[in-house]
Amino acid sequence: MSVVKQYNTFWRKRLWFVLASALLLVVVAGYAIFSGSASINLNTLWTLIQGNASEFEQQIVLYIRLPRILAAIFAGTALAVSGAVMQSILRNPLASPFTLGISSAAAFGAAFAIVVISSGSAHAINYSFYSGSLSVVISAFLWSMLSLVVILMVSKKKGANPEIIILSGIVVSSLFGAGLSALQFVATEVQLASIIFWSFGDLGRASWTDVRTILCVLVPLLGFFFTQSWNYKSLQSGDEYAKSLGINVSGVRLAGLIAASLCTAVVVSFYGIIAFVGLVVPHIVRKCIGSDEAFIIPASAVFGGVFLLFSDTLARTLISPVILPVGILTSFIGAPLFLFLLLKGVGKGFWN
Amino acid sequence: MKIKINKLQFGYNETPVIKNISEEIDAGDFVAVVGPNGSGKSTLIKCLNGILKTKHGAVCIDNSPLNSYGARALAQKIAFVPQHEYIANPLTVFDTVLLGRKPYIHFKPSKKDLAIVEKLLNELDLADFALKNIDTLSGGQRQRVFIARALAQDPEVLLLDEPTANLDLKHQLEVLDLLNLLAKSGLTIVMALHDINLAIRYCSKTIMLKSGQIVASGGNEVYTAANLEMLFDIKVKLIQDNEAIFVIPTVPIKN
Repeated sequence: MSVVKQYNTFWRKRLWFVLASALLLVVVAGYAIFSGSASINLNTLWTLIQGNASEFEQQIVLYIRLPRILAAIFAGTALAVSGAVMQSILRNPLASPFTLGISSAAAFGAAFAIVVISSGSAHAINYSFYSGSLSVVISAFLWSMLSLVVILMVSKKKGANPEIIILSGIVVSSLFGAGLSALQFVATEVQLASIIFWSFGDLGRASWTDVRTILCVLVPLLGFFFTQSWNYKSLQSGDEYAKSLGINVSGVRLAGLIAASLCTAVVVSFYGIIAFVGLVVPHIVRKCIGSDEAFIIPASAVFGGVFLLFSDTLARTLISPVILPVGILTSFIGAPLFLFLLLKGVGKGFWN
Repeated sequence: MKIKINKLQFGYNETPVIKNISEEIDAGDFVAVVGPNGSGKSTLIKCLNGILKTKHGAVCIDNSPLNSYGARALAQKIAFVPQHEYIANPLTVFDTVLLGRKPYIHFKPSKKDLAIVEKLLNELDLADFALKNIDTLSGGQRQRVFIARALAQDPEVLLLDEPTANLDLKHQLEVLDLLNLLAKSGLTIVMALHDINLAIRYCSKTIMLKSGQIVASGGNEVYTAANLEMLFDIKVKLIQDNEAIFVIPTVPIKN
């Protein structure tokens, strides 16, 4: 078989992985809509589509399950793609959407809103009261953007090399970590509980408004990442080599950082810190289809969605009617899966 | 393609590493840049295709300064093989060589791009590993892949930074034989090289660099005991064998 033919077969195999993940996404989404405390079956869904369902069933499907499912898919996609992009542009397997301190800054921002901005609020009777409130979301987002700006300023000055970006990310992260501790120290008990609850990462806060907002940010950024795949691939061989291919290395890197951070910040501001997805989904995908960014980016996008939706569905149903925050489950599911792939070496055995 | 270096000066900070160099390299020349560590060999190579942007002086190819070319156009003319290759996330050999087509690819590689890669893999005896990950190859094979990747750019000038570093004797010869063949077919090659005996044997021209300045340049006539002693601060013994000269370093000169 000629080399090009072999390559085309290899190319198609990787495409099949993306398509198979997409199929899996549909299956898991189907399962998710039917599972939960209230029983919804095909029949109910059918009457719903016809418009004959009861008020209760409409509420469950349209305002609770559907937004939650979409939120899980979009958040998973956003985090996994940001992670894949971060790992590529920083050439570091430990990079994740949170490398630049986005999560710490957002946590600080949320705590800031809870403790400082709405401190006088008389409605604060329950720890989950603040989670979805607009001031918390906006404050989390603005503070995470601030951390991004600080890192961009440093790296602009120092030539945008990966080590400096990662180090400044760590420093900014610990700075906001200290800020968060300070706020927790002065917070009341209800505020403290709210802060901790916020940081769990929970898709129970999902509503149509935030699903729409995330989608508006995610779609153009996914398109952007996809067009950048050749640039990211070139960066893997070192900055000097990438320059010799005519690539504006610092431009590509900074644009990628901004886009990935934006993607992450939107999700984190709405749903809190969902760990692990952004770090490990790209690695799982790499294990399966190798390291070509042209495939890693779409495959991480789809697989990230599958992974977070699956975790969230499990979080809802595992000890039903108690609903766990998904942020707790992602690591419980992801860590063994990744270790399994690492030890089995599925990637190598399957494709070569 | 002709390269003209005119009063080139470059420094990573205030101290210049390349000091006021002027030199001409003709089309089809196979040039070795030799000199001690820190003499500016790699820096000079990287100035030739604009990886390092120079503030003073200019590099002209075919009589037009580098900055008059667009980034993509320049990448279609000059290819670069770096000394240290990151392989954090290894691609397959085919994908690696295909990366060299980047200056021609807008989004999806064309049939022509794939055909060029296939031809190079066959010519450089890499077809058997086409779908292997690059990190599973030996040092010699890997260097061939990187040369193939550079050739995929269809360049007129090939720049290499220490192409034989970390290779065993046989692979050193194989890589240089390959480069020699390419030079004979009209490609202009400039490389930084440590092994002066290999430079004498293969290269049509040598540029001797010390502390960022050219000490001597020309054909093998520049390999005199005096030049080498000054360049490397060592005593040398030159052995004439038929046409060839061999350099044997004896003792370092104490300053």
